[in-house]
Amino acid sequence: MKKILKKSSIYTVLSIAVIISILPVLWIIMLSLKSPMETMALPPKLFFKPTLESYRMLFGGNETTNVVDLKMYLKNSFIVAFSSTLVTMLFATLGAYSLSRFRFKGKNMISIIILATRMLPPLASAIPLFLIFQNAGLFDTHLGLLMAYTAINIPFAIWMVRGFIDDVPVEIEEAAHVDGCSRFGMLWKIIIPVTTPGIAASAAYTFILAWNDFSLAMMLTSSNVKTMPQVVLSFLTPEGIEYGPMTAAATIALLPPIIFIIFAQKYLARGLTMGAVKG
Amino acid sequence: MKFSPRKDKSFENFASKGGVGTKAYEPYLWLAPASLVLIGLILYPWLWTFYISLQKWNPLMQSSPIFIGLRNYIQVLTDPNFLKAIKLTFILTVGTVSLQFLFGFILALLLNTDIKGRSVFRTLLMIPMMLTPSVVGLLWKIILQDEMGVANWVLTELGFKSVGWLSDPSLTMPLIIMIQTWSHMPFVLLMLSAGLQSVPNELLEASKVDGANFFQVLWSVILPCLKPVIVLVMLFRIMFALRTFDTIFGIWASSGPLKSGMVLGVYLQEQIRVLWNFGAGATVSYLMLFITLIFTAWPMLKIYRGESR
Repeated sequence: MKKILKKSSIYTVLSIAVIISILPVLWIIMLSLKSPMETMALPPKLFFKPTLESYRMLFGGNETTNVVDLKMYLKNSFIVAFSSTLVTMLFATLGAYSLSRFRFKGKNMISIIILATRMLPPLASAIPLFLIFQNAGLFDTHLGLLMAYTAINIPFAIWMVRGFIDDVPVEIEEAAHVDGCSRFGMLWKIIIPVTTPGIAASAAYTFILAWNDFSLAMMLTSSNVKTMPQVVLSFLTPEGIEYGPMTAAATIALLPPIIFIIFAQKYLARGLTMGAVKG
Repeated sequence: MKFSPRKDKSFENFASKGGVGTKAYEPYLWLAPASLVLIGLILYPWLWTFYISLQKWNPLMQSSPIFIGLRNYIQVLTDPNFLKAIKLTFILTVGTVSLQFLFGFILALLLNTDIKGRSVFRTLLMIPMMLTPSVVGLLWKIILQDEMGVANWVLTELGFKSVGWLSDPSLTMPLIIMIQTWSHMPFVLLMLSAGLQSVPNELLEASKVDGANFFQVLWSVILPCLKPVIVLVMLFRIMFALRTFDTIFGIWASSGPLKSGMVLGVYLQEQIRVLWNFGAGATVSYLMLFITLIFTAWPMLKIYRGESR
């Protein structure tokens, strides 16, 4: 009897926590599926006929009420997040292999410095980046944001990938070494295939960090390369707020992180604990 | 218990055997691309930021930079708004990090019991973790709107007075702490859950056989085992709490009613983006780095010690 009571109280607490966690998100998704006229109507109708009208307004489906053309900003966000993830993962995997497999002078120092580069808020390196980019013609370009995000995300990516490489037994490589396989061959033919889930999770994490950034994009772009977070906030104008399209745009912005968490959290725990947990 | 982040699997013999992968410069070569990016786009800008912090410079007023030594630092450190920002940032960091730990730890312990549907619960609890911070601000803004928000509607339906969530200055900090806890508690939960799973079962069984109660087990078995993870989580959570900006900006697009939400991140943004005061902005950046260092030196040192063991 006592056991049942204990169990049911555990379920109750967990259920309440789940409701608090997801209700705000579900609420916004629900608002985005109402017709734009009723988005904020009170009392809120819980049962309604879902419509994609708010979404249509975002993609120029209805010319009279077309607020912004979200396509361009979605494209910007995807291009920048995706390309910076590719570059980040390439450089980070090479670096992580070195930190995991070689023994060399200054190794601990280097790995701590790499982590320390994440100490400052992104805005702190934004003034010089802004000046450099202005002069180099990189301001408000995809390439500029790509470079900034790569720099910001490399430290975490190195630490995460390193954790996954550390888990691979060294003996396989020793065997390959005897067979005359080069170091790069080992990374490419042994390490990467074995750690694919971990590397994929790290890549997805990097993608989301780039996708989520607001402050660097605010500083380094003006009109051409605005990204999703900026656009979602731009519905807040002094003249009033278009709640329908705003909730729809917010939903679209939140979808990649939600999908990511659902599929990658298992590997995320392993990667983020950076070996502090012996698995 | 010592912090031991990872087993060192670099294989001395293999590396010094001769043949491929033996040249002394090779480890550095592998690190070169990442290092170049970090040096060129992070470390070099940091140094430059320090130089800018010694200048009086406002590009909006077309002024060219004038070297003024440490005067920016004196000016910023005597600005009442900056001192207020430090105080608010401190309140925010202590408040949200301890709440994140409290809730994260309780939920991690509950998830570590033999209940059904663990992975479903875990996944759903994780959802707020990686949501775009600025959009999170907006999301709560929509819910907490003074007149149109659903929160106040529920309150009035239940017979309470509606609350000026977003317009009452005295509610600003509790609100920010609450939202930050909502979005970052999952991170603590995720890491502590991973840590709990690695606590050896034999230890738990043994202490139960010895008749230890739950709190004794918690104190003398679970917490010591979790220490390395706790240190790491502390490092991350403090680091990110100190730079909170996006969510606040997502709600108010400013420092909130009567500047009641003016934490360091918002203060920095106002110096750079609103006042275009590059000299003072750079100064604030450096002071923030200094504050971050004070808060994170201890966990960093722990990790470093573990690394070099």
